[in-house]
Amino acid sequence: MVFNSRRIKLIFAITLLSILTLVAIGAVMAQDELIGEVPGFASWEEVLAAAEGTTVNWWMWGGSDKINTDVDTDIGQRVQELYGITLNRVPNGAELFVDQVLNEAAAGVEQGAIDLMWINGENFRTLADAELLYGPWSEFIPNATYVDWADPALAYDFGYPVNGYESPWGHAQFVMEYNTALVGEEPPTTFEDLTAWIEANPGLFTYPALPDFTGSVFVRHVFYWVAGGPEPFLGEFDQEVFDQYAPAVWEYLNSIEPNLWRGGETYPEATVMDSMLANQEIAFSMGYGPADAANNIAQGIYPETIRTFVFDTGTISNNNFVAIPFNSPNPAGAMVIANYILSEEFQLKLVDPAQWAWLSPISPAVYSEEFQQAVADMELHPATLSPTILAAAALPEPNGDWVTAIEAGWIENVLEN
Amino acid sequence: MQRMFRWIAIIAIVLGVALPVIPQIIWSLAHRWLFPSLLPTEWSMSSWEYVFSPSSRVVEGFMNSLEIAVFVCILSILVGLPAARAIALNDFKGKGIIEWLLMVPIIVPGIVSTLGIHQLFIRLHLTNTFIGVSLVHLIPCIPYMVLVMVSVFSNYGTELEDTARTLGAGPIRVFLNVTLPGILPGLMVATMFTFLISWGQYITTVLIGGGTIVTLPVVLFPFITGINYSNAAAISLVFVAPAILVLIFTSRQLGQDSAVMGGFGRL
Repeated sequence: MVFNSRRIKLIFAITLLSILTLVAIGAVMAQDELIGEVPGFASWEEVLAAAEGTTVNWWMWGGSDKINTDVDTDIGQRVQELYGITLNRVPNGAELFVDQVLNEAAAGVEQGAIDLMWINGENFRTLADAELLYGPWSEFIPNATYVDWADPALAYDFGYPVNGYESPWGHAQFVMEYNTALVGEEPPTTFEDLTAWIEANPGLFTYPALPDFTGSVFVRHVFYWVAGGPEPFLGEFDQEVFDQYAPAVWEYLNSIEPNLWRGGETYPEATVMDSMLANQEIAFSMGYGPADAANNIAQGIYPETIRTFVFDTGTISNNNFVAIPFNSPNPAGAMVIANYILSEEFQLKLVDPAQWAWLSPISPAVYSEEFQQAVADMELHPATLSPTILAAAALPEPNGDWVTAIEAGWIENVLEN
Repeated sequence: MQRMFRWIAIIAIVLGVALPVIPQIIWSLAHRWLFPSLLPTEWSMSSWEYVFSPSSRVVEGFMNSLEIAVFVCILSILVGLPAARAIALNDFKGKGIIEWLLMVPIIVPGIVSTLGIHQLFIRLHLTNTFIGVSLVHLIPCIPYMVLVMVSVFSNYGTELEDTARTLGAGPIRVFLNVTLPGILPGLMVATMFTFLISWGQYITTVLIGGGTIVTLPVVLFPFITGINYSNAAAISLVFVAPAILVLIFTSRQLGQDSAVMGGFGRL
């Protein structure tokens, strides 16, 4: 072996680079500082001090006993132990949050009822447009370093720029659920195969009536399929582009209608559809939760024969965000909770199929090796697709204005046809 | 013959109350109940465990609902009793308009008036408070209190009150010893209605309570729109329990012999 100076230099450089990288990673992990300025606070210590001993009213959808219990134990108890914060989970429907904030704003209330709310898409857009959100803050909390803000799926919520007014905490992706007892082990994973299946098995397929968001996302997939991909719909709404693809979509949906459940005379609600799948009245359901089928099997709501699949051409994914209203009496406590739910400790519970069984909005690579090892060791329920399969199939949401146009168009051209 | 009809009526009423509750009881204990099984294939107490766990907030919601309903009953009596007496026993100018105004909350959907009241209550700092929620419940409750009490006072003669007064009784004594015993059965029925209407309020509670005042319907609603029927059934049973208790208790107070039937004869 010859040690020439070039080789020594190279080894030296590599060693130095590794040390620097390790130091940098260490610095990121140990960092407990604000990365930028948030309204009203100069440092993270100030935020923590203001949050200690306070109560945070977190408004969220309350219809899942599993999520309710998980939030209370894995978030509520931990923020109490770590930061002395009492989490008051307020169970509600998301559209009520928006009304609450709008009403408070109209009446000039400076100390509102909500500190933190789980919202996204249309609701975020409404409040952000009306300038009724506290911020910008989400890019500046310590654990925001974990968030890849360059990822369009995190920088935009249904095409609306997040700009520091929302912080991600979970990831959702559309999956199809099917009953192997009716469909067999090989589900139709292309629209061509699905169409053939529907024709051969009339009455066993349907989708929720728009503007239901599950029905709406199903029809968005038909748009992507007709256009050969999501690209035409990612920018600002364009009537010409819409008119180019929409007629083919309506024609397709009208062509399968006679073979849908009840001959397409009526379309069910999303939750009713899950119940119909459970009772074999239909063979497919669908939704934004890749692990919902597994959870429903565990809770006895679904039979053991339910499995999930994604289309070969991909399925739409988006993120779950939290936001703070402009008149939150306790933005400090809200930020501490938003920061905690991005931590390695919590995200590990979030992705664990035996615990939350959600998807993470954060790449596992930013967390420690133990985290990545733990994730690799997790055993998936047979009804849940692996994060790798899901990630490979993930498609972006279109801009919010497209969603509105698609919903209006469906009602006019399919429902009333 | 009359006895037989009476028994048929009793059985019909008991079945009418009990039948809808039976599937709820089964659902609340079912872990897996799918078509075409006649009965659940797996049973579990998990829904009841959830109901009594702090995360469900059912116990908290139950207590809040109870406190609000009792408070609303007291307020309803304070407002409704004098109003009903005045309408039933006196003739005055504008009586028709006042009668009509009192009935308006039955005709106008609660959400319409509540949306307007919300703005007012925010300015008065009554939103997200116990008092605010109680006051907004009062609106749909008052008509029932007044309606029942007007019919009670219409059949009520003031002669006994006059007699007591000539014998030297003061106004409080007259009310407690003469008026109250006379109207008590009707007042019970009116209070029962008031209690149940307050107990069942959802949208008014959510709007004025702002999610801070968590009552039982607020806890229940997200579940009945979901697919976990087992949890929904368990919480529903907790929700209907007081209604059934109130029904039995009130009819016992009203009837001389039969607990279930008696009171309805008097109405």
